[in-house]
Amino acid sequence: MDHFTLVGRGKLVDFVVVERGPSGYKVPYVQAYVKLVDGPKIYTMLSGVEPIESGPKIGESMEMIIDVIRCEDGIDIVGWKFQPEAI
Amino acid sequence: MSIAEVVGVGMHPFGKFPEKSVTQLARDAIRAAIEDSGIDPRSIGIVYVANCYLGFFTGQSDSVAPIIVGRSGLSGMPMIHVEGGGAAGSIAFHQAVLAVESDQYDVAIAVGVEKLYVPDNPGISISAIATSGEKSIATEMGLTWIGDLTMSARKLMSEYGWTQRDFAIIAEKNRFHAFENSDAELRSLISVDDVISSRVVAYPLTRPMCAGAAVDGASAVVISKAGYEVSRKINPQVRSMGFVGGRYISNRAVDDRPGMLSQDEAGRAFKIAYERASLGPQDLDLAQVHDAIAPEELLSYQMLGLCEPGGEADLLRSGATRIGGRIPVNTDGGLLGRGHPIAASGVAQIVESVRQLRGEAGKRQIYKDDDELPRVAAIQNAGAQGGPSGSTAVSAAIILTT
Repeated sequence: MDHFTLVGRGKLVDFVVVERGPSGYKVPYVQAYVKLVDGPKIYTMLSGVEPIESGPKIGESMEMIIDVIRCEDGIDIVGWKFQPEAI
Repeated sequence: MSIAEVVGVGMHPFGKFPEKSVTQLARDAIRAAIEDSGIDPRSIGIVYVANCYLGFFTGQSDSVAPIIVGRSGLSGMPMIHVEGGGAAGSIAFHQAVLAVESDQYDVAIAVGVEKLYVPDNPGISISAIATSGEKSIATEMGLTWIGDLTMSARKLMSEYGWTQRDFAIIAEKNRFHAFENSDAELRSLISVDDVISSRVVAYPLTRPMCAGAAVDGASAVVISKAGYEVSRKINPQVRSMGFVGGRYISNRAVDDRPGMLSQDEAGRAFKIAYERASLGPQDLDLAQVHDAIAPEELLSYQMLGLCEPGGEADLLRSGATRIGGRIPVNTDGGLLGRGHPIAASGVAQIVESVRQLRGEAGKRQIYKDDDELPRVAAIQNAGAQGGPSGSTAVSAAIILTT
């Protein structure tokens, strides 16, 4: 197995704004798929967009950030998220 | 090989029952099914218990079957625990049928029971059902059933011309059916416009288009060998022909996955079920399908062969799938109306089908040619153990005939 460094950029291909989530998630939030410039498509939450239907734009260029995903027993759990590149 | 017949059905109503234990729910359904069958409880050879979340809520992740049914009065026979998400009840039913068909047992029981409602904590129910999917980095970072199903449904809307209003018609229809079902969770009528203007869960889906996660209930059926002496001879016995197919595909790259709403597995399962029954879609009188979200019912019309791909919305809009129509679907209200306590749903689909085939569905009763009882019922169910984006892992296709 080889390791690759992903450049962390891609285009938004699918998204949905959810008004209910599992315990620990701040709702509403955006679930999405981003097609990376490196090839694969990955699941991600979105940041930096309004969590409303007209917020994210399909085809928009996105970049990866590290941000809070959820809160568990008072502790913030962080992971990757994507946000519009223009920000 | 023997022929299996469904000789008794019973339910504990679906809804919110915080004062009752999972054992109490199961006991009521089992007792009702045994009483309905008229069979001597001592003749029961084996029990299959479908349940998905006792372990999640209580930590009791083993010995589930005897703990759930041991206080129902049954003892001294094998008690087998079955899981499988929304399809768990169908798997239990399938196993019970196989037990009888194989001549190992004269009488078997399949039970589906679930307790998901926790007062003032809706998030815990969503966390519980998430455990039916593969735990992955995506689900740890917020990907949910409803989110991934909705993204998949949005694609099918553009592919097949479905509209948000079609989803609302499904919800209105199934709530209309549930209105006359005393075992249903939601027994209030709702108009198509009110469905559309309800709170959005994940656009374009509103709350009445999605089965709630916080619901309790139990269902049970007694299955016996054809010709086995039972005291209840009043109604036609219901014969079962079924198939449960599964495929685990979530190790595919995300790019290659067909999306959560994929008809290939269920279509394949139905092809086999139709072949086994020597029947086809044209022979169906009614169907119960897996409508955890309204778009799933639309897709099922295609899976069952009720229409060509792309013809789902026209079939719905024509009223054909409503009680009184040519092929009523989800006559007890389906997951959207009857409710969806996950492992209890698959067995409840059998219960409703049997009630319809026997002519015991009360004001929901459907008739062929105005006065004949229906003869062939199809049941479609799904359990997506692959998890969000893993596509359906278990597809159940069951055909019951009198």
